[in-house]
Amino acid sequence: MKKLFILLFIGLSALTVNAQNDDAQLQGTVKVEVDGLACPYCAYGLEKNLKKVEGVETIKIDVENGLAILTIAEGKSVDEKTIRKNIEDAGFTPKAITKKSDG
Amino acid sequence: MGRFLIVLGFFLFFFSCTEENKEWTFERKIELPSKARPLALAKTGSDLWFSDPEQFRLLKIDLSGKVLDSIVGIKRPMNIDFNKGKLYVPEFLTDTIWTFENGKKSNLALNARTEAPAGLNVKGDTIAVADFYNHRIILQINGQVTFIGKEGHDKGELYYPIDVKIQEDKIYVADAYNNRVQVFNFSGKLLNVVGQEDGFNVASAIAFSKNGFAVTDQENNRVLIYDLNGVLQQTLRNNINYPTDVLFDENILYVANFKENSISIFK
Repeated sequence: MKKLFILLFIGLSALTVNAQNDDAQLQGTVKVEVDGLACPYCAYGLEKNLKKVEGVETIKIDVENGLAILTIAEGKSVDEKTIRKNIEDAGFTPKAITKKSDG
Repeated sequence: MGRFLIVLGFFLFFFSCTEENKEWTFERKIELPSKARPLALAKTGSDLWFSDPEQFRLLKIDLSGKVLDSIVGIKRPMNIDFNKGKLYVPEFLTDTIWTFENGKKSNLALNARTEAPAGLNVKGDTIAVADFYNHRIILQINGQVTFIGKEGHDKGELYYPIDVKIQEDKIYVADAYNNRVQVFNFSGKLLNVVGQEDGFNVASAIAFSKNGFAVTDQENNRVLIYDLNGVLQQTLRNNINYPTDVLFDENILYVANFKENSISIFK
């Protein structure tokens, strides 16, 4: 029973961390890892969808490494949830989203 | 005399067969400017154009690769086409189709909304557009629109179509991520499925010769040649690097190598 509580606690903690990540406000230059990004049509499709996000100033798609590099306009922020949704709408699976300086 | 006629007849028969079953062989590559990545090709007369979406431009070249003209500032130009001297350019990011004629740029009136036009073909007053994100073909004849296909994987359904060709009374669709070519009539009735068993991994472009058609197998670095019945005749594998388009012109077959700055020539 004790083990069950520990597992439940770990599971809930993980969900909380995810929820916090989704609500994060992104600023500056952001690196997004994207699954399934393989061809030029995919890259341009992703670019097209991310351009719709208010506050995103520039987008650079790196097909070779499956990355989208976004620059958020100065003084503005974009929530991570919106970025993730637009990536999913373009037909891809978003993975890690990090500030570019984080590596 | 009788023997002579028999021999002559044999030779005529032999040469007509070889023309029908022409084997394409690699001749050379046209080297393009170092940053160019050719996605699609179109030719009228001696003018060979290619779209270069990475650089937001189109370039006109001669067969040595020398740049003769350019059109810049197009937001990801995709599969281009010529009809009656007019260049048609689908702009992927803005859902616009531009036409260029004698240096004049115009917006093509399409009576249906497209989301990410990936390719088109124009024959007279008939326009077919590969409507990438809507998983359909927009067929416009004298202003009247018919939609062909819907999203799906079954026969007659489409999944991210990239290129389309009008051939007499048929519509050939590069049903890219279903890894096949589907053939429809103008009412949208499915007539044939080609390439389903040929191991495609993204069938991205189609081009016709008088004897058949070629299809690019983008992720496998191949170009497959079919006769007009859809029977596979030849597979080109060498000197091709990520083919995104193919073009027949008389006795030459051009292949756009998107992952390098070149166009391959086969004869």
